[in-house]
Amino acid sequence: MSAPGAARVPEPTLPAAAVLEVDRLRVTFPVRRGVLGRRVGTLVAVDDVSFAVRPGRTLGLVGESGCGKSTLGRAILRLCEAESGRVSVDGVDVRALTGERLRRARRKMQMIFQDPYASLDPRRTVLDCVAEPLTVHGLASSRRAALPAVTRLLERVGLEASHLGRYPHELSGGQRQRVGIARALALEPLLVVADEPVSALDMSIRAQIVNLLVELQRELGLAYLFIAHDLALVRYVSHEVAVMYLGRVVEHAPVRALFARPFHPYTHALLASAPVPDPDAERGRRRLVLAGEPPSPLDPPTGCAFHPRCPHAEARCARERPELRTVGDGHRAACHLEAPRAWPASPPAGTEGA
Amino acid sequence: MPLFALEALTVDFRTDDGVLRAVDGVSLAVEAGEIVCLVGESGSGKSTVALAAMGLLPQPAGRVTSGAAWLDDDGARTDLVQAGERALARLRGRRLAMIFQDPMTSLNPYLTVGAQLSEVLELHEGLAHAAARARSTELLRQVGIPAPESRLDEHPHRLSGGMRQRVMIAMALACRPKLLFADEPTTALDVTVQAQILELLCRERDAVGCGILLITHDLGVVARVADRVAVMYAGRIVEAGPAREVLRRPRHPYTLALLRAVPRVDAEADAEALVAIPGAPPSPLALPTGCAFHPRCALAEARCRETRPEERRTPTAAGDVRLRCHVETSP
Repeated sequence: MSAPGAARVPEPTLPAAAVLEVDRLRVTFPVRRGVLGRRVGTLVAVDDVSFAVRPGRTLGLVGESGCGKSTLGRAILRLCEAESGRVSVDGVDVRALTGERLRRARRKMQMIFQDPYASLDPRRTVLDCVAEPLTVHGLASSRRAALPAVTRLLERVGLEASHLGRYPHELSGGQRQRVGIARALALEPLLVVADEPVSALDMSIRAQIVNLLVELQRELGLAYLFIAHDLALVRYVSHEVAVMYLGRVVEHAPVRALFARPFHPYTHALLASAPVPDPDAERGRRRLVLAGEPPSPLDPPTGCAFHPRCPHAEARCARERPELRTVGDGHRAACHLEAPRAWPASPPAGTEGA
Repeated sequence: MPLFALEALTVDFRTDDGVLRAVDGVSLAVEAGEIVCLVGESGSGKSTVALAAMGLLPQPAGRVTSGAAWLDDDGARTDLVQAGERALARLRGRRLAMIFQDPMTSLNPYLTVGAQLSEVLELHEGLAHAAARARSTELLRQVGIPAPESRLDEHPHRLSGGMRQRVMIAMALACRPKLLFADEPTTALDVTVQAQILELLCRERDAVGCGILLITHDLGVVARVADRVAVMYAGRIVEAGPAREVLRRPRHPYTLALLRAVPRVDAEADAEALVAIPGAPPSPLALPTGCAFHPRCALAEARCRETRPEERRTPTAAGDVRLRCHVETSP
């Protein structure tokens, strides 16, 4: 085996205080029905999620659509409001802030979106887009005054001064994402939440952007919350990985432990489902096809939310919800099993839902 | 005679900015019982290949300017390019079918799932209504939809993305087509659902012996299901051959570069840093001279800028590899 994953930044020698601490965060949305929008229920999108991210480190957040990973990212940045729990960024309780103090705290935490085309205003030039955070936060008195800083930022993300006057539609997908990154870095944040930052890009471009994000982390000591459905990508960039299922973290571990010794049956299934671009490796891998689909958060199963799809489920799994517990060094899993268990031989492929 | 054979297919699109060549001299065969993957990035022309063969090019902009797409229909060869709309309509469904990335492009939002499936079966198979309904239930069961009877009366929007994809696949498979085009059928789906759909396609291939042309950008999908693979870049096939040979011993610098730019979920992931490919795929309206990949190629030489590489064949134990490259990496 080699040194830690090629992309990952070495451990800092001194443990630094966490940039981001999330403690028992819960995010809910009202479910409304009818023309009057009467509230008929509550959808729990994120439930009892806790973790911390230190400077220069990346926490990868994986899970399938609807698992709450994007909502979690948005709640941390206060792009949506949590119901309870604590989010602290650089020691400041972000959920308690309002007005000017919230605005100041926002400088420390920035977001990179999946689709830079949707997050950039089509009528504004690259200079406008990247200068905006600087002028809004009073770091530059005007667009013109921001020019030197914007030029430096563009250079840093691999663009040139000649891009300053361009509009988003005149740029390639990769270039647009570079603009998005420059904009996120303009305020020198400590924490960057990257939500599927490369999944809209062509595969020959993805590595460019991923490597750029890794370099920037190395140079600037950024803390990343990296949200993605692509496990291979998460493995490549993360120091730690948290796996979400139906709003809850079901497993959280240092990256190598998670991929080498997954504990939770759902993590097993995710890893086995992701194809590897090597026919020999594919042939040697266990065929494990998880039946059914993730349940609806509107109607979550009792007990462990994964139990209807789990081959090891026992009576207790339908009754009691397993809490996260330590199963190894820095490795936690929410599962009633005593030890990780291999999946049984695959059921006849692609068959009945749970 | 293969089940399906493209011969030097060339497709042009008229656009406001001029005529662009989306597909340029593509030759490719699919045998019965075989899964062939067509790999490429956006704008490589991979989807256009299937649309052209199905007679579904956007009109009037798209036109097959030369070449042929032969379908072997029990010994009778039909050139799908020359066949008229009526002949194509007869073949679609019964002989060839297509699955798209977005199921809503082929599902009617106003009709129930059962009505749409039954329509196909009544039209092409001549089944009576009750028989069509029973067969529809069976089809939904085969594609892994739980409680299929109750799903027949639902409208597509009531189903999850994975379920809709299954319904579309059930429709495509309803008449047991001999040739299936699947254009990024799992790209919009989660990995666990993707694994289910890929298993489903493999099973159908095993059960019916149909040929499948699977269009994808995901080399992992190729490794999982493909017998053979063709890699497209800027409208041309740059490398094609047995999947194992191409993925394990890539000869074209583009294939090699793609493999080194994609992270892996298995232990190999710790071995090497990702090597990015510089630049971006070219616009089909402004293709580079010579080999279209040369501006991004680490091995490019003067001749790569000047002349287009012709196709060469290299025999391997598993079959020929076709290659368009002046340089060729050492496998």
